Amino acid sequence: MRAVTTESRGSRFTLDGEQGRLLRNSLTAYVFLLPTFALIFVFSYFPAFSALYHSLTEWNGFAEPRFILFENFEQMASDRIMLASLRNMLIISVWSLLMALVPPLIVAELIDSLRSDRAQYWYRLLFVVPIVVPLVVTLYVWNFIYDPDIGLVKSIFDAFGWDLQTRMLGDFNNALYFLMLIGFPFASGVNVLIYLAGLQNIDQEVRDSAELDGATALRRVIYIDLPLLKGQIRLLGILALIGGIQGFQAQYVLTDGGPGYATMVPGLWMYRQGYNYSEMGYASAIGTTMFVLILILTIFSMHRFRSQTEYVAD
Amino acid sequence: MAPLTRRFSESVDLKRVQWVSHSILIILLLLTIIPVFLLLLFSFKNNTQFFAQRFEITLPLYVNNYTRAWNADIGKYMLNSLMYTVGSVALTLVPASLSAYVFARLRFYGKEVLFYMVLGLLMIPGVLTLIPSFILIIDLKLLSTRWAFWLPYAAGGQAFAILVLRTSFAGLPEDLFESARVDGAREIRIFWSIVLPLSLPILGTLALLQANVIWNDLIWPLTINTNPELKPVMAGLMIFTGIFRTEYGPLFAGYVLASLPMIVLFAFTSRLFIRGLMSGAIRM
Repeated sequence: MRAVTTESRGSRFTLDGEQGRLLRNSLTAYVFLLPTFALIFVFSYFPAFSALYHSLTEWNGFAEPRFILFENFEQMASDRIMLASLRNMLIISVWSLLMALVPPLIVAELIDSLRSDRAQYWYRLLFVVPIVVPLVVTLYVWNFIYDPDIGLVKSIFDAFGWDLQTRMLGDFNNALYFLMLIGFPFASGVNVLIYLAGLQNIDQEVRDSAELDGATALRRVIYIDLPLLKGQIRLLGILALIGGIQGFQAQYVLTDGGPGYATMVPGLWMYRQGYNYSEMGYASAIGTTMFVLILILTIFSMHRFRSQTEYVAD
Repeated sequence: MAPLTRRFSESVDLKRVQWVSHSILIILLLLTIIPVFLLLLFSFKNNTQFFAQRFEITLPLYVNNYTRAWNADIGKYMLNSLMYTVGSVALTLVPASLSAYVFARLRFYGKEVLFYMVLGLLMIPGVLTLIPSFILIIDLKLLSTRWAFWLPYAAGGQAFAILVLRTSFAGLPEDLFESARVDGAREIRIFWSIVLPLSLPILGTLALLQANVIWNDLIWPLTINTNPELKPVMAGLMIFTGIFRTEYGPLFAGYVLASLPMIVLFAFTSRLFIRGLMSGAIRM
């Protein structure tokens, strides 16, 4: 394209030549783009707008939808299970945010503090290995760990002669917390590597001289490492929040939101309303609410962190 | 937390600090690995061994747990998953690389708007579109067909693949394109014989990431497929878990089998994968 611009400079017919070229380019471009846009119009944009529109209707998915304005949202405000699931979602989101950010940072700092490159390599590799186990399999293994009769937790209690008071995932008061502990100790390999990459991109002289000046490692982490890791923290944080808000695989596989609705979350409640009760309008309203929540949080965290730091990438 | 309060100048401390770092890391590593270890341990036990010595390595190893798991339809589910994964990855990358090419290399009317329409997809969370997509699949008469896997997965993969590929294609030297155009090559030929051969590594990485997502997905298969013959492996595990509810050996052997393709893939690509993550490009 640059060649065309230089060639045509000075010609009286510059505009025509360029416009002709641009037209021909455009035709080619549209042909190339057609498969992508066919796919995303039908399977991404159409369902998204359908959800927004049908959140204002009563609809069973087949008959003509009946327009009811904000009734679905009003119903949500008095739906006890919806309110309980929002509360659960809030707890889970804050927890998954903390667990996505803090333990991997500790592991990354520990690996980074090792002086042997070989040792660093092996820890990196070994901390990543568990991610090859699919989530569903991990969930089933934890289901066994929690089994109140033969599970690992029960066996450990028995070995010490202690009495295990709770049925864990089957306990209305505690099920949510046991569900949240799945994945302990949360030293997720991918997050560790992303942090490590960030740490190794920091100018080592800055870190060393801070320590020579007598700053403890803890102060170095807080005042030098953390500000320079903002890019990584923001990415991991947003991903964790989005996952925490809309995820419901663990509930689907292990508890179905129960016992009662002790572990119910809006994602699963939406799924039940839409898929099992054919309340597509109400389900769309729940989906829309979560979409708005995610949108606000994403924009907020982008804006808030960006204005504080100059180390933003790209 | 000794390493967090150390001073570099005191070298006696340094040795002790290294030792403390190692101990904390090893404890965390063991806790992280325990589920994987249990998975493998139980997959070789029969029920007698399981109930008598659950947490010890017991002999003989019951390797035929794996045969039984494979015969209890895990094999069929895995082949389904393979078909969905390969098909969806191809259907993602062919359109995405064509689009990425024109976004990176051509000037045309409406480029900005069209690009933002692709970018905007990143703002749509899966939970918003799940139920309407299900209705759409019914309306298109695709319920319980293979197309209900291929097409939506391909659409879902477009945005990320286009963004990554566009950056990669834009980095190719302009000279290549100029000389090809002077020779009168058409865009499709430039794309096919210059851009694609030079981009195989990034295409490979994207294929891996997408394959991992599709292989592990659960909710979409459960939503749009009711035919047991077409179940992918993660959904199949729910039925399988019901069948072997009281036979722990074959149950865990089946879980290992379901994880195996990703383990093999990772074994061959871990270097590439770790290098990609460590490149420092992953941040916002």
